[in-house]
Amino acid sequence: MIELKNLSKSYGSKKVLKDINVLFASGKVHGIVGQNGAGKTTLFRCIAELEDYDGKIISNNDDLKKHLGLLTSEPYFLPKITGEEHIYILADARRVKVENIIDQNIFKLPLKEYVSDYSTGMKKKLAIMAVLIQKNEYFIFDEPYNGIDLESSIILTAIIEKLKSLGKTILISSHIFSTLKESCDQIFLLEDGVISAPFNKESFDQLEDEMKNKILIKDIDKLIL
Amino acid sequence: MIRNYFKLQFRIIQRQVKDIGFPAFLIYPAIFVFYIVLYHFLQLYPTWAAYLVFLINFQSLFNLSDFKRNDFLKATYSHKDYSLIRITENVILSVGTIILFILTSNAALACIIIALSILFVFIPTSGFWSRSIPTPFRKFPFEFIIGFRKTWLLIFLLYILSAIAVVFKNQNLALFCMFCICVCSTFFYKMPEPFLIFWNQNRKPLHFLWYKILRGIIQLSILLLPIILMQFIVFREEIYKAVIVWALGLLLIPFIISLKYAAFPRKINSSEGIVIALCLTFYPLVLAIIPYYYFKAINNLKNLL
Repeated sequence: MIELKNLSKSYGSKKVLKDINVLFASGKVHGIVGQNGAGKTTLFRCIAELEDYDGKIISNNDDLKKHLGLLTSEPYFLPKITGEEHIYILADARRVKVENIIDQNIFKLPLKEYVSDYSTGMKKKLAIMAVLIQKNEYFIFDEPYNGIDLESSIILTAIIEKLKSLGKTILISSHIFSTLKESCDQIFLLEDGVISAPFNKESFDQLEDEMKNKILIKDIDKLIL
Repeated sequence: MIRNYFKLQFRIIQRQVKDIGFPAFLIYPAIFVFYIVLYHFLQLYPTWAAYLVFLINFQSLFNLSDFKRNDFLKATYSHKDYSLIRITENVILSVGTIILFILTSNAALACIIIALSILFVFIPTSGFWSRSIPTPFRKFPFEFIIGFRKTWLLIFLLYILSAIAVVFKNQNLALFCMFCICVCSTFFYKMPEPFLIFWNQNRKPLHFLWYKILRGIIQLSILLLPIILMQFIVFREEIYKAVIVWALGLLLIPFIISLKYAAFPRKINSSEGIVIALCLTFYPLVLAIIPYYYFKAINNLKNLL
């Protein structure tokens, strides 16, 4: 489990996260939704210790970072690196031995080729695969479904289901509500740095309606076309 | 673990070197020769060469502290391993310069480089630092806006050096800073733009090339303006020197733009890199070479635009 206690984050005078108190239980999939700029990525970066923050982050492990797999919305790859090397370097960083990489290549990626030659979706799939091979206890997937094809998104949902059955703690953010509804046990709405109480499976539709009602399309008139 | 990271980095460097057409097995001898040349350069021009070597090392350290790269390393490795990797990288990068400075009795600069190698490890990679840096070129991207954001610390340092030059009435130092900015801006053009940006152009080759050259000249002049103004106030009688350096520096813009689009869509390769190095060492060559690359660029662009 990961517990956030009074978590706050500011950039200068701008408060991005405001006193967040939430418990992400083990063996469950927790969704985070919110508009662009609501603070989802900042929240994930705080949990991954990539940002300084006020408050506390508690987990079952002494060092959360060493057991956390982080999939960023735009994964970074070293230049002139092959897919296979990316997986090896991430596994090596966690002292994990990669066993039978061919069998583990569930997305059928051309691992011997340079990542720079991959498409956006392939890069995302490679980043997912590397994070999975690290054998983490906690997973943060920031926009994991962006850019990947239907078949891969079905595979990813099945992987998330399997991780859940293994008792892992999983946090996902996505703008594709249907995928979240399918894989999450609870969804939190993050708005202006404030997190809502969890919405459970029965109230997902209510949350979706709530979000749709907030969409303003009148601003489209301001667009000069 | 860290050893594996460096093994991979070495492979990556070999691939990059191969990509620019340089044989990988010659990397070590080439580095050795490079440092011997630098040593002689430092003996020949003790003050200016030392500043130049220092500034190049400074910028290289700054490049290694790139936000996204460090964010990736931080997320991948433990705090201890991350710090070890970064310190080792910085030391490997700076060790040659430090030895050169010690050999040429520039102990103070050697100490500053050592301090910077450690200091750059602790540059934060938080979201705050990744925010966009305002530039005077925002309406006319591409090369200067990106280049400026990658070298702003170096340019800032050169402005400070120029201010020191003005305070201590040393115009030569201010002129040297101007020239450094000119050379630095030529490196803004080393990477070809993404083909999609190029594809969107609706200009004809000649118009496109001149548009790029004029824009480059204006943008470089904007970068040089603060130093020229400082000199105009303090060294009014000798302002012509600043104008000469400014004019000579501007020549680099048509030179590098022509070379870039003569090679486009590929990157500037090692033989063209040697041409640049030769031109910077023997400046009149720039004038002689511009027409050659200019017409080559026009012909190349005719096939692409």
